Amino acid sequence: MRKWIAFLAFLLVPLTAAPVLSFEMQDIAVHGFVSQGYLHAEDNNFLADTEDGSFQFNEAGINFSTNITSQLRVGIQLFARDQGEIGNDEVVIDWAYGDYRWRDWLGVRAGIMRGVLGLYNEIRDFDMLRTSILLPQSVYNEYQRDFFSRIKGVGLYGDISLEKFGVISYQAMVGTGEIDEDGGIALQAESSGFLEFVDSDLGTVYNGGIQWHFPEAGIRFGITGYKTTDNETDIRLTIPLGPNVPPGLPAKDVLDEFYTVVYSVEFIYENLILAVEHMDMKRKSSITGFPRRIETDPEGFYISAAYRFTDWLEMGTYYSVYLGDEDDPDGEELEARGLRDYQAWQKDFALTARFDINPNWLVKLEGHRIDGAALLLPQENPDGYEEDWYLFAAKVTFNF
Amino acid sequence: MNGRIYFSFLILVILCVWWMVSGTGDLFADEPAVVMIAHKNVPETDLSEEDIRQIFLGQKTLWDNNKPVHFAILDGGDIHETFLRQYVGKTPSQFTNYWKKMIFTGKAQAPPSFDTVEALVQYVAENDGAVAYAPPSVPGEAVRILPLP
Repeated sequence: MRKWIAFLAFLLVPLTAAPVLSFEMQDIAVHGFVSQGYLHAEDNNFLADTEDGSFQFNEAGINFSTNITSQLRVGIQLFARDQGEIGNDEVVIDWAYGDYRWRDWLGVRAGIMRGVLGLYNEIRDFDMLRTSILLPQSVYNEYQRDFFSRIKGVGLYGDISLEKFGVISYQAMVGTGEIDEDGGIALQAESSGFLEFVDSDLGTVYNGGIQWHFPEAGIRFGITGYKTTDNETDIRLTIPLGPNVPPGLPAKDVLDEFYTVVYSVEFIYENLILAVEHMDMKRKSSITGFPRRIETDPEGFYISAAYRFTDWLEMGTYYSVYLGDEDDPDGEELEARGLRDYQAWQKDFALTARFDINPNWLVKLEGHRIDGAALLLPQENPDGYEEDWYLFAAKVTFNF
Repeated sequence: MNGRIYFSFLILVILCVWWMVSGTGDLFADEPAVVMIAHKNVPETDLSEEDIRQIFLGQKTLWDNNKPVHFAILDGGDIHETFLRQYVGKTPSQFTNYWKKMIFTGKAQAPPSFDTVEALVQYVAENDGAVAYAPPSVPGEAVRILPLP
């Protein structure tokens, strides 16, 4: 809590001296945001202790950037968030990179960059840039948010004009990333019940995408992907996995294959925005000393619509379907293992109202009617799950 | 596998909606007129609709002589809204959101914006490679007026 208050103070101090809300200090542009949310769910805990209601749902960030020349720029953004057990308001470098744009069709970046995945992964930490509070979990799984958020390495990017047929935009990055041992990936790994997450080496990360913007028709198509190689996680077993694999034994969870691909379509007409995205993920891993290979193929898709009625009111809705394994959409294999069939899916109908009080302040209210428990964690729900449940979210954001 | 079928169906629905609304005619017939203004050293003598859209979305950052493009905008008002809707394909809130995304992902700085047309014209007149929009009544001595497509 003390760290959170200190970071908030650091973020707000410049405002006291600023004649306007976004400002420049000798050619250094400074922007920031603070979001505070509230989550309450009936029957299940999701992302935080939501059955009792939770304010552990906030983000803050501040960035500084400058143009060194007309084609070379540098910047850094500090970021902190809390979401139940995740984040705990630790301040991290969200992005910090140099960017040289040689031509419109070719630029190079080096440093810590935001990861691309689907239409909205780059902005998933910034509440003011979208209609909904929670992005559709079928594609933007909150527990994997830090994993996909940033990549440390180098990248190429550019915009290729096709004249009347619009623009092709691309990004290609290679590097590595970091996984917090208290983060969402660790929580998901430990949800298997037989291991404790110790540390992870993401190995080499390849991340990129290509989008075709066809503004004449207000439409854009995209395909984005994320792949890792040499990804190993140090774990400690909590149950015996065989005669020679006792509990407490250090082991390695080796990710033999991991990739995610998201296909996207967005259509904008006047104040209406429609989007459809589909996510395919493949994960094959093996644990040292354990002969069986673990393979899961999650799949998800959603359709969303948002409409701005006035300068201050926007409403949005989406229907999102997540399957923990595309080969077991009805949960029959889970039932055979003694679990509930509805742990195989999570079908989420969401409705959001966004109120823009002024250019700097906004308030959102959001309701979810959810069927299934695929993304719920057993350690956060020790008494089991309910199949049909409701989630309410509210958030206030200030940005400058 | 079911997901792919649903996904394909939803794309079809979106394309149908697009087809239905894309033929609704000129919605901007009664909007105020707008012209493009540029610094006198800008080499282009005219700009296509795509050029304009890409400049104001930060996708075209260099003129044909590889000198930087510096575009500027008004803070708000009818001219601003008309220009964005007609030539950039976004509403003012969508345009603001687009540039906030660029700012908070570190990809670009916000374009300079001005309260008045006079201040906007002065910026274009004083900065190499600058370009903006203005009402047709704008005085043409200090800047070059480019024909709109």
